Amino acid sequence: MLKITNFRRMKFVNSIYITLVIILLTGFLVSPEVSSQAVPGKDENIPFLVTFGKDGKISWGDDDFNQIFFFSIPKEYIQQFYIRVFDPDCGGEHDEIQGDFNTKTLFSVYGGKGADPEQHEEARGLLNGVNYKTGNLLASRVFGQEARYDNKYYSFGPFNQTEGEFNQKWNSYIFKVVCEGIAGDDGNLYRYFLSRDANSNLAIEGANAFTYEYTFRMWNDFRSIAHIYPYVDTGIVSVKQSNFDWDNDGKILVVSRYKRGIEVPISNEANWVNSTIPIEPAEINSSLDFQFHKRQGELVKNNNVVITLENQRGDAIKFYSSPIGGVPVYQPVVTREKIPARK
Amino acid sequence: MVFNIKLKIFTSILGCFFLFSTLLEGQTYNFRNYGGESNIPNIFIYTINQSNDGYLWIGMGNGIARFDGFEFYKVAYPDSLSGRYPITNLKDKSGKLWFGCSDGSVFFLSDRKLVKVPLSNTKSISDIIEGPGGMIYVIPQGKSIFAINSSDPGKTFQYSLSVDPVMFSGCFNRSGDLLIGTQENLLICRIAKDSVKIITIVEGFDYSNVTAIHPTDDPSKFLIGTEGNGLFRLSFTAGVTEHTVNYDRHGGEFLDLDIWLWSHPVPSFT
Repeated sequence: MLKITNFRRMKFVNSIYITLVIILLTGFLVSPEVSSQAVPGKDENIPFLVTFGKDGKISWGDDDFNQIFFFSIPKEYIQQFYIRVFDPDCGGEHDEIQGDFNTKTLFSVYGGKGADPEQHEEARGLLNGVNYKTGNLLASRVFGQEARYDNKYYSFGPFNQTEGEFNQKWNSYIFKVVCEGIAGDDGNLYRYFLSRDANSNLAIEGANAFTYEYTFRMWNDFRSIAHIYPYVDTGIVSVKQSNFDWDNDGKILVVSRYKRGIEVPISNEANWVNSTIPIEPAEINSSLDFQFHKRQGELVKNNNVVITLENQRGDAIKFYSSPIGGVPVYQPVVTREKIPARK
Repeated sequence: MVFNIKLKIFTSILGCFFLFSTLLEGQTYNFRNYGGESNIPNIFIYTINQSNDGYLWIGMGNGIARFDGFEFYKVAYPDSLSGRYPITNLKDKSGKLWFGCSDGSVFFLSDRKLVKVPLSNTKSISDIIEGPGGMIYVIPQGKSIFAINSSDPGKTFQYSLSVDPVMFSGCFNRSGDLLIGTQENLLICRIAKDSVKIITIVEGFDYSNVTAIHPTDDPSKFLIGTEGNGLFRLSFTAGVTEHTVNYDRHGGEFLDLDIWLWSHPVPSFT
């Protein structure tokens, strides 16, 4: 009798344990933390964005000492939101020191007329000598070496969606975040998260982030493959890729639902290299997958790189943190041919 | 015996403590939240002020509303443009309410209706202040400052800056010079014929976002509110030069602009 009772008790405890494990696992799988509005995105597998102080050398992997990202908030989302910056300071963990940490980084959030790069080309930050700080300044802050924000988040906001600039095509409000190295020569490594909450990362359904020039840190790991996902819009027949300061670190492969993996030339120390990739009709209205494979053998450490794309007309192409249409998967063209029967 | 006396003293003190503790409650504040269920036209509130007839005028994410203590009434803009929202307001000495908006437009209230001021400006309005001679000064985020004749709002004047700072706040000092708080620093400026000349850049505010400049009872002293760099006292001392500026830092790391919106008038600062 006692044995039966113990057996039942054990069974009961086990069932509670299993239920708890299932709940925890389910919670983890649907957690917004793993959702799409981290920048760099989850699918991109890029550890950090990087911006150097303006006194840095471009050979360290940042060609212009600033980085501009855009966030789109769907019109249907009417609650407040925050733009969170992970490790905004320059010092302590993650950041790249040059001598002593002396870098100041200015993060600025812009909205209103001038923030949307589709309506205001200068907002993309690709025109030399043209002011890219267009729009209404909604929030800004300078970070130096500040232990309180080292390896931690700083939240800009709350923002109301209508503080952005409305984009009819995407039915979304656009916000612009500019990161500038206003002093010093160190590399500030950071990430963004577009969140519904000031203190935690809660993704906004339907929101996205994009940029026209991506400056980021490669993994210090042979096996990790980083990705970026430009979107191929209607009318594009070719894409010109330009990459900077790749230090001859491995190879770049372009994969799409039509391309199995086209290798494009990569740059060396502090130089730009470009090439043109033809686009097939089957690739229109989908994303490309630019894969960055590190060189095997001697590890290139702390490699910071820059990449931009433009179409055949010279218009810059966006990189989306969350690939539009999902991560492209090569779909081989299957043809069938009937073999005539032997007589 | 001694023990009994001690016990009596102890219980008496304890009794007094409990008896008077109820009186220590002092002031109590009752708050009522107006959210979506209160038919408030929008839940984002940027600016608020009370007109002399008692109504509250609320600048929200989708426009301006009037509140009579019971209901909110949306106030229509005189033009058909959408997408703007009010950011700042001013009640001038005559009691007229002015609103500055995100698209650079400025409105004033006349018979509970909004009237648009003709300004050639597209920069978001950061601040509206009252200046000498009954003029209303509008400070947008960049390039130019505008003056409006309060008694004849159709008459406007534009004063350009030689540089293009992101301006957040402004205030006149007793000598008629204009203090301008910017993203990068604090400027002391003088309005000339059609331009604003920068006389001094006050050191120590590097990229502090000077979001508020408030006069005090002492006309030579101002409170300077920053975003992320604390609270400062700025004093003008007559002496070797007309503008000898001393500043002391006060307060913590953060100063919320809302504190400034609700702290008017500021008492003398010690």
